[in-house]
Amino acid sequence: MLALILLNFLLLISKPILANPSTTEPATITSPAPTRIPPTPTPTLSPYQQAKKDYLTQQQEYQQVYLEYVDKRETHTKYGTITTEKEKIEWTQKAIISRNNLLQKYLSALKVKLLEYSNSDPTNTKKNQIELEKWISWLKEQNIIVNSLNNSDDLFQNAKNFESKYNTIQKEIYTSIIQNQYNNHKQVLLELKNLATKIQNSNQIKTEGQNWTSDSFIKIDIANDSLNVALKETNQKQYGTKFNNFYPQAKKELNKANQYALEVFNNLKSIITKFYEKQ
Amino acid sequence: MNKKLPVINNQNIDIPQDNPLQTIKPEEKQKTKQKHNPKIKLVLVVFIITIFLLILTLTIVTIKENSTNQLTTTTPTPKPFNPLPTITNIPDPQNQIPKEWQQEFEQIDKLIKSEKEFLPPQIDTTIGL
Repeated sequence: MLALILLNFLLLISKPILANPSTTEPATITSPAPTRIPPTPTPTLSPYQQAKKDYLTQQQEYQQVYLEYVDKRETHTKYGTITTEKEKIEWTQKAIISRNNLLQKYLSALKVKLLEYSNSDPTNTKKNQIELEKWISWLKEQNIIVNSLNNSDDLFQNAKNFESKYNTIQKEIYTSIIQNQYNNHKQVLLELKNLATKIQNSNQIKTEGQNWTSDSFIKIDIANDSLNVALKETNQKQYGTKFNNFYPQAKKELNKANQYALEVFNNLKSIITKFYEKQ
Repeated sequence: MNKKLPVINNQNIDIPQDNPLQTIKPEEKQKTKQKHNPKIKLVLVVFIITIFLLILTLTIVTIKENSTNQLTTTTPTPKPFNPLPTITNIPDPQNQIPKEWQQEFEQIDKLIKSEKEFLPPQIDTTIGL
């Protein structure tokens, strides 16, 4: 009874449903025309983008293999049987090979990236590329060696060797990163200098505006000095077994140069918008 | 000799708990007599709810009708329309640069915004140790 009352209550409140006017046309069922999905054009990746993509794929594989290796290592520590040891050796080999492959892919991508603005400093850039290539070859060799190892002692020795070499690899990596950023900033500053000179000599810009460009040249020089300091940081000698990371210090100088470049860019933009006159 | 007799759970009608005849005390009898019939109570509750709901529906329906009548009768007065500037109207500084200079600025802008840091991956250098 209560349910009936509630139903009545709801019917009273709700809006009346109006009937749709009947259509005279007979209902026809039409099958949807098959729509052709146009083939999506695959974007052509630049050599660096392709190399980076390969590196990221390898990174995923390494993470999976590494987790499995950690699991097997823990199982062996817990049970210490011959079977668990065998599995541990097998997965240690796999993890080392995967890690070396990841480093190879990363170094290859970095090597390609160095090409982007190599014109700014071709000699040093080439030197870095040769060094990177050397380490790529070394990692390839290591994978062949690791594949032939079948006991924990040999793997231990190999790991020790890798650990000592990795400091030098890191030095080469960060030197190349700094070199690449140096090249990029150099390119920016060169283009800004050319633009400032063009504005200074242009008839389309009022004399007042042309005078303002002199400040840009000073800033470009300061930025260039910062870039040279950043590059000098890479010559720091490595002492002991721990890697002495010079990147943060170099990054400070690179950021300074970037800040000056941005200032010059915005100043030139303001000059062109304020002092431009149509001929 | 002093063997204990086995305890048999026989029904003892002297204990009120075990009495199958369910002896009810006279006080309890009085109490049950005084109680209302539950069916009558239920009907009363339902009746009250029905009346309450009916009143509620009537008030809602009347309010609804009044509001619709008001909507149809009152016509909105036209107000002067002042268009507000949208985000798209804000001038883009890149667009203010004269056309013949735009390409050079765009090129530098692209260079400044390009990816600079390509840091190495986090790896375990102690695998196998």
